[in-house]
Amino acid sequence: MSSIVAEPHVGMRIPAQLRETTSAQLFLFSAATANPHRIHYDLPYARDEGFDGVVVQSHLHACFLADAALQAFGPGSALRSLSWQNRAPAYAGDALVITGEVTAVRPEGDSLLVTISLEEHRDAELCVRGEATMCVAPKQQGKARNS
Amino acid sequence: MTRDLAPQLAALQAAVGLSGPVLEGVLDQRSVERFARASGETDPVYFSDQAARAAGFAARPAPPLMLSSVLDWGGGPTLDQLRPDGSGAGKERWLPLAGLRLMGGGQSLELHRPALVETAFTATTTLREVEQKTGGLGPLLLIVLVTSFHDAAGELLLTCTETLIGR
Repeated sequence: MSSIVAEPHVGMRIPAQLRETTSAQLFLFSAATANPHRIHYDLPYARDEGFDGVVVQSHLHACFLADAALQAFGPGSALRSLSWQNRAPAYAGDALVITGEVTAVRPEGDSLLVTISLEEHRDAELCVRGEATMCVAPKQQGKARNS
Repeated sequence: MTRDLAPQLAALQAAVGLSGPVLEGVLDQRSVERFARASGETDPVYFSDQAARAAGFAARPAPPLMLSSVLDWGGGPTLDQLRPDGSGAGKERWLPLAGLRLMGGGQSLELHRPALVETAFTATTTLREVEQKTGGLGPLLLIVLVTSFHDAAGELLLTCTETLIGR
């Protein structure tokens, strides 16, 4: 797991993450979330709906965004809020790149509330845009992130 | 092909403000591990009691997206309850969505406290609003649902506001 590399500050870029999705991952994610929607595993049906492949779940995109934010600030951080909008579908086999930039930092007790603007792209196409707010405790890394 | 979504819009408008049945669930360890693996998590707190305790958790936490991502916490729908697009899991089964093709449009989550393994919880979903718009593929409905998750003590764990796109 990565650890925090610098004090969070506005304009700071978080490390980009690459996620290479597979049809097996989509199947397992549908199973783990009790999601029987056919666009995620039934290729002929997905094509009939106008998609180019089986569709990456909206929630799985969100997991990628949340993980990118959490990884950036290490064990002393916790997710407080996350919002995202799906802008374009992504498909099994796509390589997705998640990037982010800190847009706000404000103190909360001994910790910092850090807001990150997030994007997920497939090549040049924006698939997901989101925003996460994290509670980051730089002085307590590795300790009591559930407190 | 342009579709007339007026019947679906009317049915949903009539349900605005209504809530579905209160769903009950328990975060069991196996489900947490399966969700964590399927989503590509590698953080040991999801897989090791020792790592979870070392990180300050009283028990293994669920990944923060798990509560809002799982669509059914019970046995799931019967096969004849599934709509043609396969949807029909417990969280959305009560909604008048017949004739629509659905996909997720996005969510807004407020995480009030971590959900840990063995946590029993309830989830209540309310239809907040529905709106018709025209997208690149023709008319579509934006269906906004709000789901609140509470633990057995009544403490709010998570609030999830989500938009379903119906075509």
